[in-house]
Amino acid sequence: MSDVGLSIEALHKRFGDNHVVRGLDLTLARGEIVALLGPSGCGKTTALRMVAGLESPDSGAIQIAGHEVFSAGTNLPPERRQVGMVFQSYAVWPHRTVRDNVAYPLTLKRDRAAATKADEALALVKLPGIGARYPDTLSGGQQQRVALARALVAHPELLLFDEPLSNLDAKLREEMRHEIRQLAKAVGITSLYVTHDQPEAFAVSDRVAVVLEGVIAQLAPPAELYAAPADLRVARFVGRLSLLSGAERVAEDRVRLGDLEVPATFAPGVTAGVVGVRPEAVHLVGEAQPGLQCEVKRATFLGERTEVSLETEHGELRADVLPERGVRQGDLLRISLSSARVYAER
Amino acid sequence: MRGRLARVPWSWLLIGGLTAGALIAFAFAPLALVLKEAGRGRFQWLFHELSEPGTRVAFLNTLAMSALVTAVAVPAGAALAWLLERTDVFATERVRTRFSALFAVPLAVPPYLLAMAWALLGNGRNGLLNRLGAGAWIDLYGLDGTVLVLATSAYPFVMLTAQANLRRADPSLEEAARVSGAGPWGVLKTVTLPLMLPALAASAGLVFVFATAAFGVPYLLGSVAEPPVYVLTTRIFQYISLGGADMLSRASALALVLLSTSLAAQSFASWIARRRSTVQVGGKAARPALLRLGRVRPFAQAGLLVGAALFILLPLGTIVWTSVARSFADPFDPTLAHWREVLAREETARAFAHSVLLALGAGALVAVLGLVVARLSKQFGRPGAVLAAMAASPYAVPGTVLAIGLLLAFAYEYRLIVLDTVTFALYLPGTLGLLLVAYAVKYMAFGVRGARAALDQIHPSLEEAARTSGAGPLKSAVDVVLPLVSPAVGAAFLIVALPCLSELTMSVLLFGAGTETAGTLLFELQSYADPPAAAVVATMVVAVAVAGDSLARRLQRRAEGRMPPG
Repeated sequence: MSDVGLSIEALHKRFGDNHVVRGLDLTLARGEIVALLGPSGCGKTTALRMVAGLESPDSGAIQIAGHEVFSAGTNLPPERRQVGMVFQSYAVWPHRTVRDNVAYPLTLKRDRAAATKADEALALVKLPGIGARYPDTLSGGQQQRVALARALVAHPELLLFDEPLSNLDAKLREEMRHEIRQLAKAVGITSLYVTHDQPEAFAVSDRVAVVLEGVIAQLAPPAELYAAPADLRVARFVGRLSLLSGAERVAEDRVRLGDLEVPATFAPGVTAGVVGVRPEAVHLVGEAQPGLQCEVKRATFLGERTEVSLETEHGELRADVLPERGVRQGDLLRISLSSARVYAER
Repeated sequence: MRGRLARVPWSWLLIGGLTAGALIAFAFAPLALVLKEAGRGRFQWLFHELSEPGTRVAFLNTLAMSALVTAVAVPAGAALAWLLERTDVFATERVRTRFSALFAVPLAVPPYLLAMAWALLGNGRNGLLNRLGAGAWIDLYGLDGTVLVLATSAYPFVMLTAQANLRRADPSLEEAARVSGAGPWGVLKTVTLPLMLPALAASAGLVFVFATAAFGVPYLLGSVAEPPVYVLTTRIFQYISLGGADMLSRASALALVLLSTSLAAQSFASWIARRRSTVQVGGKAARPALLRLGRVRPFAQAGLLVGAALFILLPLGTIVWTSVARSFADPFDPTLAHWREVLAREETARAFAHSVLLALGAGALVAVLGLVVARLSKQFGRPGAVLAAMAASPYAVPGTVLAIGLLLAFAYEYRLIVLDTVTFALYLPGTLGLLLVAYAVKYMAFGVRGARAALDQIHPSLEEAARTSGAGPLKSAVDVVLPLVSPAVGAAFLIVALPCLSELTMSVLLFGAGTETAGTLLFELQSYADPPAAAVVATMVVAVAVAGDSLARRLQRRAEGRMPPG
């Protein structure tokens, strides 16, 4: 038994002139959940479909739980890869009852207990007792649970998610991503989860792989990814970010902006460049304390916070303030920064 | 979605009312007359006909022919659709599209033209096939040839329906089965086929109805066989051409039998179609990975090529060849003599002029009235639905039955109930007016359906945006609605005009001296055994039909392409 759940090496795929996946490498430990996070068209879905066997890579190698499913000499069809997959459009078959949908992978294996196991799987996804119904009587969220039960029922080696929650409404989405993670962890199944939604990727996964232009730009646990993006592209894609210029490095872990010294980290191989600041690192301070003078260009009330855009001599800065402060457009404020990260200018 | 709609101008209401009146006068009343005529003397003619052995044979022949056509055309069409849409039988999208178009050609060709071609090829005594292979003996006259030709005409309809279904179906439904562990054949068996089944069953019903109502093919290949094989439509024609008062009653009785058979098959088909509509519109437009046929591929390719050559190119080629062949003995000595001779005949020009006039007239009438009816049906719930249903129902009636009704109405009944002056204008038998009425009534369904689909695609917000921009109801209809529906209306015009151009089933019963059409001209040339002349006319008809059909398709694609996603 290997403890590698999924390994992808140097995966390439072109559609005509469009080089979609450009040498993607990724290794998942057994039982690990990794999210492929990226903008649309970055190749994340194509990569997932190649793992499933629904697309053929041009080159590279894929192993699932130690079994080679694709390499120069092998290309197993999807049905022999021991995976389960949850689709964006649910893909619940309208001509079969819920139970027959879920039992399908077992029926193919001539499992006599297919119906019973299907009902167990339905109970697992909190849909007990609806096996005899047809999918068109179910809500979108219920259909997605049916799809999840179907993907899990045959105990595959790997679970694949292709934007499974994109068609659900916001509230249901938050509930489901929590449940999906719980379920995958309870079953202990290796999972690869494609999404373009950053909070979803963070909530669901152990590690997040940011996919940009067909390769993995960074692979890290959510907290690390957020705090220490590898470069500016990743930093911009993950969370909100403001960029300030004219900073001066004053110590191993400090930069100075005007008369304000800020604790800072540096992107690998970078000593000077633009300073990236997250909104939550911006704090209002009194006149006497060191800080940056700025003017409020825009203030948007969002309920639990007010989002402000501040003009400083180093550039525009986005920050959140408490609504009760009553900040308005045109106000003059003094701020300090509690952390920053320096990136190469591009 | 029924948003608040702009008020309809009163002129449209007037046109709608007139349309309803015309439908009653030219479709429903004539059908009632068929019933009345068949019911004369307590249905004595109906019982008389039902007790005739000839009728029983014709009825059984109709059922057998329709069942066989369905049994051949549906599997063939479904298999073709699957091969073209889901396998790598043709390497590139371009080749695939070309072959899809080629296999759809028979849809554009009038079935009786294919029958003419096969009559030339498969005549038991002097057919071309028998001349080529010494000692070969092929006789396509009779039920087998009729089924062959009707199935050739009907399978493209099944194929196109199934192709549209396969393209629309969400590919992840099939991918989910692959990931669940099913092989390519398993997916076909457990997902693809069951998903397509309701659509296939519904098109099977329509194919059956098409075969039941067919007249030209069973006439050209069945009635002249030894011994003759009659079906209901050809037996009705036989009665009418024999003439005599009783014959009209007997024909009406048979028409009633034909109508009942056809309606029974149609209700069965729509019952199946309604049971469970399963095709879901896909999330992603991607085509699922094509099935690799591997070693079977060359065989599949060869099969498709041979099939296309045998069932499409061979008959059409035969017609063209016959029109330029000097004699059967010397196939490689072309001549334009037949063309010169036929084109010089006054009756050729007249027949074609009539057909073009009728096709344009019926197409325009249906396109305009269809749009009005569709708009009214959208506006007024119940009465609108009744009007739309009235306009759609004549298409469900076999052409032969409709023609008998019109004959009864205009040759006998209407002359008695309408004032003399009006009678003169309405005395239609033997005039082009009667044919125009018959065509327009028969195909009204196409105009309404096309316009309604286009109107339904227009989100109310589009018209509302024009209104809030300051356009009045009429202005916004002209500026926004009309441009959006015009491709659909244009397509409806062509879809109606094309079959009218070569219509035979109704024309052959309704035409008179001096009102020959292309269809009846061909029919006469074929009956009088003048194959070269018939082939010349047929070649012209095929050329116009195929060209017009590709134009109609292009318009229809534009109609779909222009629709904003609703």
